[in-house]
Amino acid sequence: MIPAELLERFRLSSLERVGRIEAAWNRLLAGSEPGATQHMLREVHTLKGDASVAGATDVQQLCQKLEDLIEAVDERPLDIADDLEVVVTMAMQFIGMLLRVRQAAGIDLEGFVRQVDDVLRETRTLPIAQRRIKHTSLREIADTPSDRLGDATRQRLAIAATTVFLEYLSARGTTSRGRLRGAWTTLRDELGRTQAAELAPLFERHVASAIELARRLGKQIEIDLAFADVRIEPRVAEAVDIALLHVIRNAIDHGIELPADRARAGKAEQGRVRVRIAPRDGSVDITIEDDGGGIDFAAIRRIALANQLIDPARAADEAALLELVYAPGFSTKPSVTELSGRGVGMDAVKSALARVGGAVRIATSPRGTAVTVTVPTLVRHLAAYQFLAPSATVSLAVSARWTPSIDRAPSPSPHAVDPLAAIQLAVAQRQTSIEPPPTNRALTLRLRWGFLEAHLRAATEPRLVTAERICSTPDDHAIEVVTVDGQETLLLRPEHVAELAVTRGRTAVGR
Amino acid sequence: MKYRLVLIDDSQNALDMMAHVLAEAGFEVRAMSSLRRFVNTVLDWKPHLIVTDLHMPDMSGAELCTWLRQQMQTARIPIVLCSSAPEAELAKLAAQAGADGFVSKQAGPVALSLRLQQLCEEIVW
Repeated sequence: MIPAELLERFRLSSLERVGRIEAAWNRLLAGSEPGATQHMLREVHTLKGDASVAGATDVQQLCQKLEDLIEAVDERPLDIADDLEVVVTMAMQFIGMLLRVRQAAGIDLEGFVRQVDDVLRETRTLPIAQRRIKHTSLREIADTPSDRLGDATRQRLAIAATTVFLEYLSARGTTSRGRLRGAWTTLRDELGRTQAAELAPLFERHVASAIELARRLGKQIEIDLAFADVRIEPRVAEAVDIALLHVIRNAIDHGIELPADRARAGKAEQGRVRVRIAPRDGSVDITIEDDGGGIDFAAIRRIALANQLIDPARAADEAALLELVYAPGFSTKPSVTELSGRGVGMDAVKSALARVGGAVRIATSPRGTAVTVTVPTLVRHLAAYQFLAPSATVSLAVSARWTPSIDRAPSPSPHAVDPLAAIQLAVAQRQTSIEPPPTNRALTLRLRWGFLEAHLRAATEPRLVTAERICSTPDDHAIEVVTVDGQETLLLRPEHVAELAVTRGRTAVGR
Repeated sequence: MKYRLVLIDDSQNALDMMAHVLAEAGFEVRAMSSLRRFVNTVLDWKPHLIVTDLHMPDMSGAELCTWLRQQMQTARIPIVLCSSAPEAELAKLAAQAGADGFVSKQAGPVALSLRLQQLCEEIVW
């Protein structure tokens, strides 16, 4: 039968392939690359072939469906029906899931295939104008495996959740208010789950396989894990997963020496791999450090010179040699059936991290190698100015990049706009538990940000607060629901509410 | 007898896995993804059978088939198309391209090696 190493390599490279397919899909959805379907088709086709040979019939079957779906998309890449988008996203998620875990619980493959067939049938028979009418319900979107929900889908879900919250604010009957409140909290919680992945469980998965790998290689290792409560986006978690897999493997396969060699070098027979997590502002450093023999520069130099990858004049430069480790397919191992696969996989690590705005760097000496992976963490907090709407019923906020000032003229400025009217929100009385304002006198709040200026009517003076983002809508969306001291607050983006934002005219331009 | 097979496929994963399964089933196998190495191997090693993938970046399996047929040294080596397309579709493509047989990857690795064994017995002199 097919040996475990080959299956493992199939699994890993296929996961990377799924990542590329998803990236192409996101570019397609963003409208930045309508031709991405051809790229996707090639990747899916290779994946399907590999899965067939590997005997992974479920993956193969899903790839077949995904191919059909992409072909349907390819007919009209600029007019993708919502249902089609949902099943494509789900198909990619399912494939990823089946590649990650041996027994994927909770996937109703047959049911999904039927759903795909239904969507394909409808896509092909409906006239184009009608394709957008049938919407997949929010519940269905929320039910899809959410750990890999695409960014575009997540943002749409956030916008929908925001709309539900606004409906709740303006609803009048107690029953409908209660129902809408329930719908909002469900969506908010669902989103919370999809927006953040914890880092710690990722590591635990790799420890067991690292120990097994060491055992197969006849090496003794000890793994130290240092934890920190760090949350990252699921797509970032995926890149970290790929990085950990390759880096830990490399540390054990190439770094840590055999017990006898270690004893000869005066080291403890048991090698040590340490994983440290250092959260920083907006990012986190994950360092995987081994106490092995370090990177073999002589071997890299030999291969690099033999393959003309480096100018002989620079062959002594270790920094230049280290760069080669990131070159696609570069390996100092002669055989492709080595446990860590073809290359050391650092090209895969680098590109997976680059896709999510991360980076990798290596420090090596004869006493060991430290690979540091840096990825962005989830930004959940936002500095904002909070104030109450003129009716004092709704808590509002704007990002602190706006500079507020207060106009204390006895009568409110005629240019000032009621922010709730501007976003067309008619709020029924006493919706929230906000305390009545200290004064009833309406203020005019002037907000400035660069060339933009907005004049809002407000019931209270703005105070600088830290808002927590619980339902991130895209930056070009006018409204987002945040919490301030646990209180739901509407974050306005005045620049995207036409009635609010005015450009500042001559004074600013002339500056 | 031990049949000599040359496999060409643009996916290194598929190649390695197929080569392993076929070697285990008693074939002598050379597997490659580069067209140049493929041509050299076919000329030097004289395989009993060529197994080619259908979709490859340099040349499609069907084109490769036509090309091999036109070369004097290779015209007589039987060619089998191997792809993840369903059997019915493959049969049609094989007939169009003038291949001597086809085998679908869809049935999985074991079926693949059994089918190739059967094909060899049928078509190799």
